[in-house]
Amino acid sequence: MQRRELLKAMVAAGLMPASGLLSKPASANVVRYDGPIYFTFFAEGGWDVTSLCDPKDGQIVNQESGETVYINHWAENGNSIQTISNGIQYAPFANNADLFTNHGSKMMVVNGIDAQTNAHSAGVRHVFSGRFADGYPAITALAAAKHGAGLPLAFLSNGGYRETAGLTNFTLMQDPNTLGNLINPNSHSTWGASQFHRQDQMDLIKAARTERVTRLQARNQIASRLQNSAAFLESSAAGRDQLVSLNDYMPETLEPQVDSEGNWHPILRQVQLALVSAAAGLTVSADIVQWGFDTHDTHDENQTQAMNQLIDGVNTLWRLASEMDTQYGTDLTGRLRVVIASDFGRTPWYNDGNGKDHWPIGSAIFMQNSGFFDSVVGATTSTHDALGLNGNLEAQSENSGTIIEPRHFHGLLRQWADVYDDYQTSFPLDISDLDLRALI
Amino acid sequence: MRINLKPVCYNWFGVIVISFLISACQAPAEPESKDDSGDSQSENGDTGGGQPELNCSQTNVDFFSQSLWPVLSENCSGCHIPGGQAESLGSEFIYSANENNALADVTAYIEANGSLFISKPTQSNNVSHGGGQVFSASSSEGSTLSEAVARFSEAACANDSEPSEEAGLDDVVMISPSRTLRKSSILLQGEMPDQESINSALQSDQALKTELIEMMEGEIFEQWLMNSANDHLLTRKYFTGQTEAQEALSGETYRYIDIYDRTQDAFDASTDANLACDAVGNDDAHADCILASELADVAATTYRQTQKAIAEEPLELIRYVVTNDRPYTEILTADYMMMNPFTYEVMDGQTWTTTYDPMDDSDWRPGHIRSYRVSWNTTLQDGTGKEFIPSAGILSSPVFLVRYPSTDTNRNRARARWAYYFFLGTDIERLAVRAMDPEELKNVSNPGDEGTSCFGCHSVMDPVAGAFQSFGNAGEYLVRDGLDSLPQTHVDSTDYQNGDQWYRTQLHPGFNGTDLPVVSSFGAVNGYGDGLQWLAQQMVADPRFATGTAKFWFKGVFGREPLIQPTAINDPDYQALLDAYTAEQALIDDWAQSFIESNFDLKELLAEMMLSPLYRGESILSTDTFRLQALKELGIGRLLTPEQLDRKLVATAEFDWRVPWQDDNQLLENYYMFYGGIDSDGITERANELNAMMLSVAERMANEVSCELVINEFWPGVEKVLFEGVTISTDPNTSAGESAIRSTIRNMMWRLWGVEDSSEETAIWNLYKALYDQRIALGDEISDTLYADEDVDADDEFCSFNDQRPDDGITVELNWSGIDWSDETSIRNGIGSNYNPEQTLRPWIGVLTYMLTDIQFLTE
Repeated sequence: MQRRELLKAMVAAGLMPASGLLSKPASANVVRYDGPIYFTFFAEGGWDVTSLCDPKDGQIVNQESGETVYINHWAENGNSIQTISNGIQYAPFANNADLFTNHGSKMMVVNGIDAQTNAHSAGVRHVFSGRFADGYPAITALAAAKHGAGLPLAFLSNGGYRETAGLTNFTLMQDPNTLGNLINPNSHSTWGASQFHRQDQMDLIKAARTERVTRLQARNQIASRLQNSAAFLESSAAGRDQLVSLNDYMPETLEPQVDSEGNWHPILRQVQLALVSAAAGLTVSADIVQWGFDTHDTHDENQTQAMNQLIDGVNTLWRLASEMDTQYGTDLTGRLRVVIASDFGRTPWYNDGNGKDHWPIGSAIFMQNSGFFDSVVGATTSTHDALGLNGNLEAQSENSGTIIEPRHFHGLLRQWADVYDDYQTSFPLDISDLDLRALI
Repeated sequence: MRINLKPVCYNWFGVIVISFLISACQAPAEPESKDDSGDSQSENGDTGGGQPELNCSQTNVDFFSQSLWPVLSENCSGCHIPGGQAESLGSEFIYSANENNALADVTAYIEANGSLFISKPTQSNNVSHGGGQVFSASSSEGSTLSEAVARFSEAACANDSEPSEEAGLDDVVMISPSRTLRKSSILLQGEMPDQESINSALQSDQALKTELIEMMEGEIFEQWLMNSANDHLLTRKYFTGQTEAQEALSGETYRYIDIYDRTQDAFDASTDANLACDAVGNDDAHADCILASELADVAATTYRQTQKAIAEEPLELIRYVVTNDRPYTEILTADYMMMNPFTYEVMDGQTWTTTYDPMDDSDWRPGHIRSYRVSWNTTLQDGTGKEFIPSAGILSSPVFLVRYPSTDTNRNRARARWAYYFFLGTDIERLAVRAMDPEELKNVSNPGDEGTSCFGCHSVMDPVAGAFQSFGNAGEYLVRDGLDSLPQTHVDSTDYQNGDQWYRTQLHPGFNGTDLPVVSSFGAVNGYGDGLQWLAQQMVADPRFATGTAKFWFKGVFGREPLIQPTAINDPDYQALLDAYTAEQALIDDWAQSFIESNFDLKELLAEMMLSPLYRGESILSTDTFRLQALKELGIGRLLTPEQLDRKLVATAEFDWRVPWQDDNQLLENYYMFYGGIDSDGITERANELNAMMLSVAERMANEVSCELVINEFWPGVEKVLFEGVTISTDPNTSAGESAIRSTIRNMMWRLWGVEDSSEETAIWNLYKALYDQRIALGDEISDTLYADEDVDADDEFCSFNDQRPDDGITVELNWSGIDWSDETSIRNGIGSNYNPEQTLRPWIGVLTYMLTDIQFLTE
């Protein structure tokens, strides 16, 4: 029953007062969410998967210079591609060994995803919504819309593609510190004194507020609009108080925001706060962002820094989830569904500035604690052109099979998030030529 | 709003009376001569005291406390308190000896007896007084009594409500002119109104309107204009959203030849300078590194300001038209587009005739798009013979066109839909709210064909879509080699004929039954630079342009969209909703007429809207549930946006909630999205109702602001804003202390909430006293300082000490060295108001926290 219909019914039944407050919004009634939690890691700017999960150690003719050059300096320096037990290969670059040896068993790597563009915004939109055009929701939004109705923090975002298509709201965490400030607005997290008001003083203020709202609502000589606003304030106070449950899971020490070299390193705190909210049963999905992958110059150095921070974030995710499971008895480790992706890839050659420019072919990494039946799906040529797949999802020779596009990738994501059938009518994806859903 | 040209005055209870203070008013009827103590009164006498000079920023209660009560207690209380000689002589003027109770007694007497209150103690007008002449009419005491009569009998400083006179809304009681002025001043000027403005606004509705219009200038008003416009147009998407403005305009075709040049040059220079700095070992003091730092700033600024200039161009056009008092029609008819140096240099480069600072982002002037190519190798000039792309105000704005894109099958219909919605107030999608025949939907190939169910809407929309014919799907001009913007698939079809500019299978381009003038059927426009220029002329000549403009600014002024016409005639609340809708439409029609008569002066329109009960309504004299529900979004109580709440905090408390390293205040930075802000991209709707996270933001704001504000205002020598009238030593346990604290509370209520309310004043006083008593009872458990930095524990309270007014000559800074702890003066010299063994300030911090989180601070 819609609110207006309810109003009519109440009037008809004589339950509505003839004057004064018309209605009060219901107090927030948060139902704890304990299902799978969907985290998207966005490698902002275009990551170099030839130095990650689709390693290339060969040479290529530089399209700009005409020279035959190594795709990657690490190969030129004699380092070799590494392989872990489930068959996933990785490049000896950055802290990849740390990532793949510790978490490779949880992974499924999808290589050869063709973003079909070199433009950042178009690439982000395409890869993270499954469609070039505006308007399709992010997978995290779809998951929150289906599984998180009524949760105050169902969809947390730190940036990246966050289209919701009106299905849900996201809570933006521009500064992860901010959320902490809002959980308990009376807390001042600094050394020494830790609160703005003593609790006994705060109690007096709160009591005065409650009495004030009661007086406002009892008045006849005041606009309904103001009375309704006061009622929302009252219900918000109830909902706000439920956010305090986050404190039950908030660690005494927040993760640092600078790395060991003093660089800005916000991803750890993004991860930590998202896990806290998920542990509190308030969150279904979260977008985690690592900036810095748009390495048009000094590629190896800059890409290494961004990649190491991203890996640090992934490591932290699983470490904190495990620690919280131990401490609180949550099953965050078992509930986590993680996908890592980027705008697109980077050229399989270096430019004049020792950088790498945009390249439409990229990869995605799926992670869950139980691992996957298939560890690697999709393939590219030795010079990083995408290869098509057949109906059995086997890589084919060049110019045959169906190349993985973002729509196929999103069919898989939607299946994973248990939303495929729910939104196929309103946000259809055509995956008739290549259906990856059997991978889940 | 129908302007009431009669000066109106209001008495203490809001009933319209006539004031002697306003020359156009009739003199009030004198009370009948009475001599309640054996005195007599002559006719036609001078009431004495003369016309008082009023300070209406002082509330009536404050006036009583600060001015009248001292006169009475010194000169009258000896006889006129209960049990005094005057009572034994039968005088009606008997008042309580307690100041807080005396107010009601004195005002009741003045309301009943008017100027007799002056004549008696001055023995003017031949009125006798049992106590003889106590002071002369021309004395300061006489003047104070005259002001009392003006305030309490004639309500010269009325802050009371007044009834609406609008048809269909005459049961709405509106806030007073002074409250209206306060609300508008906060929103449009970011400051409290000055006394002169209030006094002027009290004279008449016309005077109030004049004051409102005078507020419509300056930076805050311009920001309000642009924010309100962007809430509809959403072009800031390309500045605050996920897509860069340059990339949005360039698309895949890079038509704007030079659009990246300046940005690229700036970054190239920065890169070169960085290399030079690297070569000298990154020595910050080296000239090469200093230059590198400067060029890095230039590059960042160039990048940011270029995106902003593109994204805000249509908003700047509105600002330019309104602030230069040009007819508002120019927002569509302008044959120019607005540019600042960041866009002028990459799009035009020829139009401006005077010099400019290339880094001045505030230098907005008309210009034209000249640096453009219609195909990869053909410039606009070579391909079309045109010097620049013809402009038609917002309709042809590049960022508007890209924000509302088209496709080969949509064929500009979306643009037509939005043009109707934004500028004519017509929502085409609501023209036919009914179920469609699914079979017909499948079979109709052209919704513009007459006789189909689709035709009703498409006959309105499709001709206007045709007028956008020059602009391609992403807003490119004459995208097909300068010939037209038709897709190649259409050109290759049999429907196409040479010279066509539009689809022959569509309705003719046009507007409202008039075809676009063309050189040949479906050919190029004739007599205008572009079809949009013709369309703009047609649209502004349509009566719906005026009503549509009122609807466009509706949300900015009232915080909501116009009411929608109810259609469910069997609903029990149908009639109430229809009545509300009809009354609102009548208002819109009235405003539109005045707007047209003012030659499309937007300020005139906005002022009319602000005079209306939709803006000023405070209560409704009805007990009908459906009536109340139909008007549930009327008047005060609108939840402020983060921009507005930030302005209100600055206006009312003169306080910036900011951390030093950020450019904007906290409500516009860390908490902007948390508090319902928009990014014009994924988030385009502002929150209309408070939610849990927003309340947390408000509480965070109140907690962070309150102590810092209190310690600043009570710092020795600092001029007070909120806490005028009390000191760190004001003792709440004394009558004088309570009186001073209550006076301060009244000042805070007026500034922060915009109300006078004795019951709320008492509630806040009770809170202050409870907080104070609680602290006193805690004794040694609490610190003598607001923030103890030694021996702290979890129960201690935090307070920050930023100097809020670093330019006022008084430094708010803790200096602990050299303090003689046995000497209070020495302590105060060192740590100022942080030292508060009296425990008078923490209660103020609590009161301010309470008031800043109140719904009447969060709304207006």
